[in-house]
Amino acid sequence: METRAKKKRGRARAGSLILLLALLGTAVMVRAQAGYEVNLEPKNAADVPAATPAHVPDGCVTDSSKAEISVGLTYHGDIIEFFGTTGDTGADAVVVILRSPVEKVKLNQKGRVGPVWMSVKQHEVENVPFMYKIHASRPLAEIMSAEKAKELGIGFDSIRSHLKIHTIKGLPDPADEELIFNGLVKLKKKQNLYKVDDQERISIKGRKLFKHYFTFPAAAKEGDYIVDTFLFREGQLAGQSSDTINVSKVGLEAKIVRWANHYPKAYGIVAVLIALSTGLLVGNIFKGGAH
Amino acid sequence: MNVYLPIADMSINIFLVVGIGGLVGFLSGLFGVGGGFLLTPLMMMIGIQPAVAAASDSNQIVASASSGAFGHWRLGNVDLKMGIIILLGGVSGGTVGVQLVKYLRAVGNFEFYMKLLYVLMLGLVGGAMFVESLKVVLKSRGTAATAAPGGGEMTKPKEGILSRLPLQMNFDKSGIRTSLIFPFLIGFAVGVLAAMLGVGGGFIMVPSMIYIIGMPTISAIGTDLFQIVITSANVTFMQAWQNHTVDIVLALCLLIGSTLGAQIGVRASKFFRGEQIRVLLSVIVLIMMVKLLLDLVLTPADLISFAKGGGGH
Repeated sequence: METRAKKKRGRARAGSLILLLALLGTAVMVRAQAGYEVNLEPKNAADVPAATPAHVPDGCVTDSSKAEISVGLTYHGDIIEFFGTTGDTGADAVVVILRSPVEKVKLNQKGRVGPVWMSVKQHEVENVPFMYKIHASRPLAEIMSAEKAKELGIGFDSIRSHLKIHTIKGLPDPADEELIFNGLVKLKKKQNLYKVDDQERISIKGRKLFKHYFTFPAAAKEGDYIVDTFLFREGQLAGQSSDTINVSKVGLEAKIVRWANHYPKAYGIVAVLIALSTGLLVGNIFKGGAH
Repeated sequence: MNVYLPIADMSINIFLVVGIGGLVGFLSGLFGVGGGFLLTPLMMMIGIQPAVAAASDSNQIVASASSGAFGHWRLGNVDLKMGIIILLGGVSGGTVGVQLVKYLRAVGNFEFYMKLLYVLMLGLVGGAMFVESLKVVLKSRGTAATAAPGGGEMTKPKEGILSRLPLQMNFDKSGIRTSLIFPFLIGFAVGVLAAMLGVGGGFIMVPSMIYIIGMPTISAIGTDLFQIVITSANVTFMQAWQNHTVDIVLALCLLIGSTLGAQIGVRASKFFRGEQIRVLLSVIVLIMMVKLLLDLVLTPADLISFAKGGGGH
């Protein structure tokens, strides 16, 4: 009796090991295959042409620890460090702004219906940056005037001025705009995607060097993220530099998403087949134990 | 160690997902219930968007029910004729259900109706289980002399109603003669629930088959597993096609957890007093029901939320 139970347990253990190995093997194979198609090597940031407008004095040089983020199956966010020098601009403040591609988002607005809360309105909002972060070596208000901030597009107000809101369900109400904007910023802040005036992360060393870092979230959208660095001296723009970080989905993860969206029927069939075969395989392994 | 769920579009600790699958698998092994009705709400609680949680759960159910269905099939416990009638309902119900999901997502109220249905389902299942198991516990202690009505006595009058409906047919395997209408309708209802909630629906199907249709228990269980595999497979396919909400990585993580958990649960069931634990399970179910109910009635922290879960494509 006991030996049989032991044997069963041993079989179950061996079986589960085989299954795990098989799954692991498949995953490794698919990833390896995917590796041929996508370039996993991060490109040097210097390869990316930095836009340096001619009308501002030269001297601001920046670079990043890497210029590409590859979102794969084990990706759970990334940190990119940025370095820069103020050159001979004599800058007393650095402001860095990270802007992502804008997107159109659909928002639900909840309202009370009898005893419960449900969506009563729906809005489509255009020109919403996926991510928007500002690092400043001192409080923004000290560095530049409100007009200057507006001119350079720095601050939440600049996002707000670009938003286009269409109410697609329910009655449009101008009073909703405030609620929608604040709600959107709150959601983005909660996801750690929006932040302005972050002074923790940047300071100028010896009036020449500065470094800081941006964290990229796990659910990063694909596209080019522009990091603009502005140098200020006594409230005036003294230098400017720009870096680009490209986020792309690679490997198995990207394949699954692309597949699910472009060949949804095939994806569905494969999902069912994988589930069926795995279920039967596992059931077979544990056959001894279940009854 | 994190895994990136491609369709849910989030990074999550793999042990959390496998662990939740394991917990639900353990409970289902212990009690012999499907567990889908626990899994989807738990997925939502860890931040997976409701539509992805339900669809991926359906995918996982295909796997977890398949080996049981195959086993019962080989033992001859599947009433194929009855199964096909139920499946006609289940497949059309699932197809309609997925379109309903699509519509509700588009107007932004899928989450609301899903939670509402869950509150009703969990309240029904948890409440019935609580009363039933409490009765058994009290009876076994000898305190309650009031006899609970046995299942066998209940079948007679119900059979009478069904026997008056049109479209009567003989089901030789189960040894009964009944109308096609009820099996089709119950299949349809379970199909809609499978799409909306990501459940197998055994908790409705099995009692209906035994107490209302009058099938023998073993045939009811075998036929139920058979219909679950195909209904869930259809729902998985339709969800993937229409809503793009099936996350196969999530489903596989849940599957690994629930398979291992179920094995432990089956073994553990030999050492536990069933009825007392059943009270505990019903309390867990009722707590989840209350949690979802509060989600619906309390003032939400955020009046504005992203439609379709994420930032949108």
